[in-house]
Amino acid sequence: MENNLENEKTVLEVLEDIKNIELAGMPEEVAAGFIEMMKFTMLSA
Amino acid sequence: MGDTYQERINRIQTTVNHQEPDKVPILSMIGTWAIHYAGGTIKEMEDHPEKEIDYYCEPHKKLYSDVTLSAGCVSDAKSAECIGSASHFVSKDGATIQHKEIAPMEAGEYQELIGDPEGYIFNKMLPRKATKLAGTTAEKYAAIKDLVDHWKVKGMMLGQLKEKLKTDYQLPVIVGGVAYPPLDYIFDYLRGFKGISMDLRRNQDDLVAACEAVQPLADILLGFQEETTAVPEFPFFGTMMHLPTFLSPKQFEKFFVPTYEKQIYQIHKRGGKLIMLLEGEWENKYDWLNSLPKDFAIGILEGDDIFEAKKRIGDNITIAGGMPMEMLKLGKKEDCIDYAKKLVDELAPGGGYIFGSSRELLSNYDVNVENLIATHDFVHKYGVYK
Repeated sequence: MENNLENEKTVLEVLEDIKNIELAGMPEEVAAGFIEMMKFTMLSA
Repeated sequence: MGDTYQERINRIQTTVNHQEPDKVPILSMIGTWAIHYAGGTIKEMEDHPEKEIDYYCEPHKKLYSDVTLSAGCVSDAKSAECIGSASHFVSKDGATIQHKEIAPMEAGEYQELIGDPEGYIFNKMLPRKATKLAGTTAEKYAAIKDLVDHWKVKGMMLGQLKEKLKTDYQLPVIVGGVAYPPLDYIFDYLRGFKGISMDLRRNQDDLVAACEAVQPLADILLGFQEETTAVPEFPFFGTMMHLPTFLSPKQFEKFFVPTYEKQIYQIHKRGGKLIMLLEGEWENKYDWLNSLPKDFAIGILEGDDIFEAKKRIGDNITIAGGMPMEMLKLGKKEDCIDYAKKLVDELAPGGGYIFGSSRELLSNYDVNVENLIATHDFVHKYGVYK
């Protein structure tokens, strides 16, 4: 499984994509804060 | 006319500074009990996010409080579902959320954690418990987008809820930012009970280094930057203490205190205050509570003898809580009121006391509502400083 996925993006890389695409309408600082909140939410979920 | 939002904040701030306010402040900690009380379910909240506002306002129509612990259901099961984690799920009653411990980090991985905390936690460890983060880029993207979409709406609802509590109920929320102790961060999300118990004995140096390594990640939750010079005195920064009650004083001093103190003194030097849910029993850590700056901290006591605590730590920190949940659930109303009177008589003189239940209410079965409302009403009327 890991071998098949080794070329896939990591969770942190995907989070960066999400910030740039899904949160593109937000000011950079707000989007960065939102992503930090999502990271903690994922960790605690 | 009832007490205003600002009057209630003044009441809290005065008592926390060990001065006598006009009345003994009352704290409500209503958790998911609010959903039960309002006759709702988690599922309804997920399908109709605006219901969270209705559910968390409903108790305050009858229950007097000067301040409430938190607004809304933050640790929700939907977030876990979005990323494919089994760590939070809804109970059969439909309105209580349960937590299942998942500890995906292996003891032999400390060096990886210490070397690259963020990369290790999010890229390696997290996909072990969140199945939707273990697949292809597209699968990860879809899962995180689901979570982001969920929180765009939920975040807006929580903001509206806080505003409605302020405008319609004149009710402040006591916790703002979060001070998350690095040791609890490792305990709660990485190693769990079994792992941390072993590490406290066999991996001591690694554990100390890991606390230092994750500190920057935990500090993000404070919500301010290094260059921030001041934070508001209210609301307070909140800590839910998880592991300390299981630690000996020596373990507490060695593993918990160093990084946590770095965190909370960042708050103190900027003028903020700290409210701690002192879960379990804390008597063997009273020296540490007395070492904190005077009038800086508030401790909600859960398992301690609150009258003894007032004598031993009450000059330095504010004591909160005291109304036993068991009595609120099973006792007669008169007995509850008698006990509330004793709490006010013995703990309120000189300030430094906030009345409330000994634990957060989570389920419909936690309290007899009549007793809860009666004690809050009684303290609001009786707890007047002459």
